[in-house]
Amino acid sequence: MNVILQYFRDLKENTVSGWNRFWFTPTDPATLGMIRIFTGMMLVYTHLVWGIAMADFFGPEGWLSVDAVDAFRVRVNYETADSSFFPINPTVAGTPAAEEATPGLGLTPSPFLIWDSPAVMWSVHVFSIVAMLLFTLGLWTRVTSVLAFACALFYVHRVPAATFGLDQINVMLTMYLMLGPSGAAYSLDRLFARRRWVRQGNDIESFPNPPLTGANFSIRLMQFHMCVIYFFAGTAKLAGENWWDGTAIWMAMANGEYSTLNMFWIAWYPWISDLLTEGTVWWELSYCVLIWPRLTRPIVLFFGVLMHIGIGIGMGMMTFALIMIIGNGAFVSPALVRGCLEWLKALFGRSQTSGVQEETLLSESPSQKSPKAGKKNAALANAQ
Amino acid sequence: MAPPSESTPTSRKRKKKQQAPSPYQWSPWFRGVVTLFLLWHCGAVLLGPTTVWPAPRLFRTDLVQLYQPYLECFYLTNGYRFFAPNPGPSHLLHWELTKADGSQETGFLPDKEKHWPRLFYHRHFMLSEKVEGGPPLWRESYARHLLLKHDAQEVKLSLERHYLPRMHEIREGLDPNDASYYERISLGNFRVNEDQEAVLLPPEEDLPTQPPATSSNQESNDQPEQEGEAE
Repeated sequence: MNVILQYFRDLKENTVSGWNRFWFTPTDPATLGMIRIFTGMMLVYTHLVWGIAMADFFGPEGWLSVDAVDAFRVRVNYETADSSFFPINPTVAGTPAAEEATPGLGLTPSPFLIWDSPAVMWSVHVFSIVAMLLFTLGLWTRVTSVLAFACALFYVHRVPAATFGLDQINVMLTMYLMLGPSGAAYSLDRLFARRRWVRQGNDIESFPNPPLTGANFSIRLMQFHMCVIYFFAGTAKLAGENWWDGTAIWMAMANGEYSTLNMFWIAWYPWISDLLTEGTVWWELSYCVLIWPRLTRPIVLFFGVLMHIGIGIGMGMMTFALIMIIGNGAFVSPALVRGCLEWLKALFGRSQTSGVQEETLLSESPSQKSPKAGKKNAALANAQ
Repeated sequence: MAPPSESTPTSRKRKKKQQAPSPYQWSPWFRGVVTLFLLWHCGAVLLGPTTVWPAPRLFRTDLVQLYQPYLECFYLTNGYRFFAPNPGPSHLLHWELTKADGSQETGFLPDKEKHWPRLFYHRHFMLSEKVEGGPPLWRESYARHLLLKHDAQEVKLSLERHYLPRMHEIREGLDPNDASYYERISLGNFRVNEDQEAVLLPPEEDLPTQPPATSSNQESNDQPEQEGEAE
């Protein structure tokens, strides 16, 4: 009996300590800062492209009318009406209350669904681009990260027919960047805080660079979400015969509407399709397991980058490929991020110009403070 | 002299435990609150893909009731079924506009010549890819957009399915853009009414549609019934 009780005691203690260690151990925000810059760049580019045909996508006479967007929500969720466990949620699409609700409010808020005048449409667009640009640069990041996330949602909620995987990952990464101190590294916020520090008569080398719990929290959420994405991408493929018989990659490459390169030569080398198809399935299925051990992580990331670059080049989906690679960046250690930047600085001769260190965004000290010391400095970094 | 109770091993251990700095910056109660959020949010992240068909009734009805506002609001209703279960044929949206003076204008989505950069092309590709699986109101909405944008009186919409060639067909010299790989499906003829809404014309007024290709290629393609979700 004691053995059983001891098992449950150990189980509880290990679960609690493991949970705390996984989610709440402070970490260097370098990786988060790097992901903010690249995600922000993707956001800006993605939304600039919407601007090519704003009226076609977001105008009153656009491809999808507001009624058509609501019809999509109602249709997708019609099955929620016959739940046997929970009372009908009046806010759930498909219920009479939801159908009578004002479009654009509630579940999928978007100013594009409420106002359709060109002036509002362009104002929201310009505002969104500016917010995303400031978020990328890391200026007033606490505020601009929330704005960038909200603005990204405005667009995907308005035109569900024109969105795809790129938008899913864009929104996902921006959400987690918003939840953490994504401006605590490689940002204008950080640069200005450093200048204030020096102006107050402090030594630049003593500028606090504490590990932050929020940075770990955000990174862990990204890592978890990436594992979920690949797990479902892999398991869903098991239901398709083309992923079993090795022809799926051929079929994807032979799709004339997707392909940007002529890959029909693979027809004479079927083993290439076999190998890539099976490799893709195995990689996606094993990702959520093999990405965690330090030994296998670089291998998983290496093949992941190869796979996404292949999709990007072969199928003309470079934006999707890039955002997936950025998402995988959540598994890159902060030490490696800082090491790469130091290497780049040395490559371009910046390391010798110590006088301009204060001026550059990339000149943060890699020194790590202890969690105890970090507590004192965390408030300063968090406030940025 | 210190009291005896303070020198016992148990009390020393307790004192040491009390004095040991916590490795965490967040207080226990705040970590507890965040843990509740994590359980809720991670549940939502896992539930999103499991509610995409085919899905157990528990997930697609009952649990969705609880999570739907959160999933929809934060755009977590994604299946992540990239090219699964099978990569399927692509779809192109064709239209024929008839203007007041009787002139006609044709076009299609996506158009590699017109839609640049590639992301802009892909946005339009998604419009044509999703029209078949989307609600019927979508095709009416597309028709309304075309009629109002081009100031036309009537539009005929059709969906063109572009089947994928098999390897042996390419080796045998077949052109992947051969007409036999395409199937045209009529989505109907539409006009705009007084309320600026697109109205589907009755079938008798419908223009004759191009019969679907019936070549042996489509049979030999043996296209799966379920098509993969675009990336």
